[in-house]
Amino acid sequence: MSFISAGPGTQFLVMRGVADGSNPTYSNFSATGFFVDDMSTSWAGTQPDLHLYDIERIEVLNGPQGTTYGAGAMAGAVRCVTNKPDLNNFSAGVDFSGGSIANGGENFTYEGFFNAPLIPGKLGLRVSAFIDSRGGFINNLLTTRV
Amino acid sequence: MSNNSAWARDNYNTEHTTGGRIALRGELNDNWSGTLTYSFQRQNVVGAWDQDPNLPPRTVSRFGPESNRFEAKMADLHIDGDLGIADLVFASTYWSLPRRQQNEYSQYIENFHNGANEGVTCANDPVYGGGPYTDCAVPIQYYEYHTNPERWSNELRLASKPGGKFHWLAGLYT
Repeated sequence: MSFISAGPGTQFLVMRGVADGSNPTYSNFSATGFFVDDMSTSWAGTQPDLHLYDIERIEVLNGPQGTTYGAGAMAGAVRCVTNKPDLNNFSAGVDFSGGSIANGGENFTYEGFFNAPLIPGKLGLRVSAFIDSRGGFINNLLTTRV
Repeated sequence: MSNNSAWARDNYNTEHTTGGRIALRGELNDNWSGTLTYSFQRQNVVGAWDQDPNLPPRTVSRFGPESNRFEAKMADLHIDGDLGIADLVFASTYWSLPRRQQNEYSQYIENFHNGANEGVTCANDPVYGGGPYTDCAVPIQYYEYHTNPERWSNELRLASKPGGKFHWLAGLYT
């Protein structure tokens, strides 16, 4: 599986090198399905740049997955399965990470989740949230054009 | 003559993303359960993730705004049922991915006005000379686009029980 980032906001996941060839300028439009639980998030051959947190597992399914995942999964499918509410137990957690880019800015990530059984054994709630901040590392040079 | 003092700075490219997810899960009995999930993300990006090979490492020279404000709004209703002879799954999902993006384009107008020679923005283009693309142009150009794709999908799936020698799957979707 190949991963191509076109900068924040747009990315391509390509399995087995299969592209749909719909754009003659770029041969990298993906024919790989990208799912969050039941949801196909692929759009125009790209996958949205999602910050995925509180994930139970990631399934990577090689080869055509059309029977279960539709025509957009001709090369394969990647499925991110989120953690579901636990109906019987309270739980909570936080994560923090930070870093500094050499000759650049600083990165910070804050993540947290909370799980509560509203009616034990019957109804549960799970909430998660995050803040992700990335410092820059590209300089825009002061230039004069004539 | 023009300079890019309005946009020039170090560590030009920054990214800030916030979001979260809320999920409610209910079990009616041993045979039926459902989960409703809503997630949201907002990403604010400024700057360029590029490098000009004619400039020092990790450096560009841009003469216009570059930004990307991207949101993801996603809802997912998933129901599982045990029908005795088969397992039922109903999944209804909706997403909206609005984006507002500004891309700097001054490199293009420089080339467009004077062929491959950059740095001259007062020219009579040999192809378009005499038309609207002649005379002096301010060496600043950018474009902005707004998109808001949406998708709503529904799927109903029946699958045979595990075990045995014969398996089947049937589904409907929109």
